[in-house]
Amino acid sequence: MLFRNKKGGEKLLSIWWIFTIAIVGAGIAFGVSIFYSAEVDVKNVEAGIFADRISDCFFEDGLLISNLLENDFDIFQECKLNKEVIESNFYFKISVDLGNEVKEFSGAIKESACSLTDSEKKGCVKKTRGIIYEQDNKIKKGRLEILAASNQIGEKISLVK
Amino acid sequence: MLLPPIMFIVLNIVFFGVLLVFVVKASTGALVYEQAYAKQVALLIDEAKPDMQILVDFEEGVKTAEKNKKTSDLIRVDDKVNQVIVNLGSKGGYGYKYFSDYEVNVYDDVAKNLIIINVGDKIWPDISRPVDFDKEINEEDLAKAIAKSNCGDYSDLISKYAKQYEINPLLVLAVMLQESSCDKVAWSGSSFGLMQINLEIHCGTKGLSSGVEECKEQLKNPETNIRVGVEILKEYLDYSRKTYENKVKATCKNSDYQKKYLSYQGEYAALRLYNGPGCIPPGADVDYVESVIARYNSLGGADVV
Repeated sequence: MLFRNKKGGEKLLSIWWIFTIAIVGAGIAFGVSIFYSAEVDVKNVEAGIFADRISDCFFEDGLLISNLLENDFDIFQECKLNKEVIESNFYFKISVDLGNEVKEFSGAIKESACSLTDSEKKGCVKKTRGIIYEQDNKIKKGRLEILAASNQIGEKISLVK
Repeated sequence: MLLPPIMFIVLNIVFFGVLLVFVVKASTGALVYEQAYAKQVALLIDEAKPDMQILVDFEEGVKTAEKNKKTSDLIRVDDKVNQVIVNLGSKGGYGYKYFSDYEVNVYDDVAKNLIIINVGDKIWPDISRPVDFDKEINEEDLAKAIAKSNCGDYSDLISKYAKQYEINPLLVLAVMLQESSCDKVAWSGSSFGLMQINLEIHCGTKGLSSGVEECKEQLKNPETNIRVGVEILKEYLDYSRKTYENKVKATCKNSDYQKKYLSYQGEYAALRLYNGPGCIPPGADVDYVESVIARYNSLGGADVV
């Protein structure tokens, strides 16, 4: 009795349908736009490559390079790193534990990219390896620790043509 | 009576169809691929070692660029800021920086759907030893040098104007690579094109219109741009020593850089003026001369006398 003579089926194209479909459409369009315009995050991969690069350039024939222990060691020059790019986008901290002393290098500090107390934080890579070095004509053992992070964001280029 | 349900179904199909097209377009848009390729190439450069050549499959990039009616200069490197720039048809493209301090050359081979990356050591010349710019560069030498770059489209023009103005063609090529990485629409905000002609200084001279917009239009033509660039270089080469010294002393007030600039002779001095005699970074590239000479040497002009 309640539904007798009702004509609800003929009111499919109502203002409410248009409203609903507009909301759904706008939501999907907004979501898709946000998703595809988001940065593809390669910071972790980049930090890993950066750490490997530092690690590789510290060794020659398996031995720690001798000038690393000198005070005027220039990591940018020795490892062929671009100082401007590193200083504006990367963070690194290197500890060379020689047993009797610990030599440290750090630079390009972007505290937001990596917290020293939390190496698992996204964007940070920690690599450790044993080292063999020569000092006073003796072969000694030590430990190398590298903490690296990238904070680089790509750039949409606008050209005036 | 059947009309409203049919209309309802048709409108629903249209709505979901439009939505589907939008999603597909968004997911295969130029910016998505530009970002992916720029990052991929930058990471490959960072992983590479000197004297490596890396080939990257560029099929999707080429397809996207073709859809956007772009067929050349899809990828390049701005080595002043260590940035890989990919442009597949969006407004300006997408850039991502690499941290390696190597000599890097990146270009696309659209016919083979490839990106070609060449990585080498930077060769910094001993500035106290003069480079032989009078060494005769034949067509074969130039072809070999061009093959190491992405400037193949301009070899005839380089050869023509280098001959006309009696300048070493490898030097012209080195300047072009340094200035624009052979990007014919490179724009720094003040200078335009392959040879980065400064609009404020040179429009109204050397056959260029004095109206800036008209002048810029003229400089979009690679032949005009190269001709004007070589003419400027020749003009600076013909300056007397006194004129060069006066320009440096009037513009560069830092005593260390002034001393460095005043040690330049001949082509070195002309190159300094090409970049400008100023010495306040970042407006002035204080190592410009060394960078161009390094390129000149790596292009095959490395015969030091």
